[in-house]
Amino acid sequence: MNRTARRRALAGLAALALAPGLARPARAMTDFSRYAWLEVTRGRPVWKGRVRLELPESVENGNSVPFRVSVEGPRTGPERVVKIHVISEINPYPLLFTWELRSAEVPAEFSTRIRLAGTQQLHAIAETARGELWIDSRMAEVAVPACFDAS
Amino acid sequence: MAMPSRLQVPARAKRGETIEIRIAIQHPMENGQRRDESGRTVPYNTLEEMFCRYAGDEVFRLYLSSGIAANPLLAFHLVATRSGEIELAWVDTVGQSGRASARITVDD
Repeated sequence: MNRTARRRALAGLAALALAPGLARPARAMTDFSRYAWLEVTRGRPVWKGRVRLELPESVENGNSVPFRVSVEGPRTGPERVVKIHVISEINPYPLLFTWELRSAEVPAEFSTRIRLAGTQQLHAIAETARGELWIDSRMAEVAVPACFDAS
Repeated sequence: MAMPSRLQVPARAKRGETIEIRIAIQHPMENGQRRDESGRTVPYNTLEEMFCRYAGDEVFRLYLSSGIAANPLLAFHLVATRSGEIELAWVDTVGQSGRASARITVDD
């Protein structure tokens, strides 16, 4: 092993140990939410980047919150996105949706309106064809939570 | 229960152009925790699965939950590569299904 290779290997190890770009399940997550996270990630590292999650920082009504997710990168080859999962930390059904892209004709960009059961962090995790995971997380403050309780 | 929907697809596009597609479906997306006037729990019933076909090929599949707001409004894009039908079909928790389609003509 020459010096450059050794240095590179060490840098790789250091990166894994410190892993500034690595995301982990948050402490605020409910058990259901943590379970959804584990189902989606299945022990693979989750890297921050490529994904862009857009939602208002603060909303009046959690029943209908504008939401958009998009992922950068090629639409073909091993780096293409094949799945996008969205996980809530406190909603009773934490996996909001899973979108499976099956064609290069579909850009990785999707908008809808979601329900939020309260102020929380939301996670969008994209999975590439070769199984890499990328994430973006956003905090949303909710004044009136979605009526998940009796109303 | 009928599930009326509205699908918006441009009638024409240039080959290679990225077009926006929107669909609105009337569905309560019941989260199973709401009570009706008589105090009974309204059972969980949401759109569960949806797929999209473009000119006969499946281009995506979507798995939904009660985390999507009532009367779902979904927007996505397609790269217009060929003329044909854009079809969406979906099914909810109790097995009710619906579909919508529109034709797009792609010019060179």
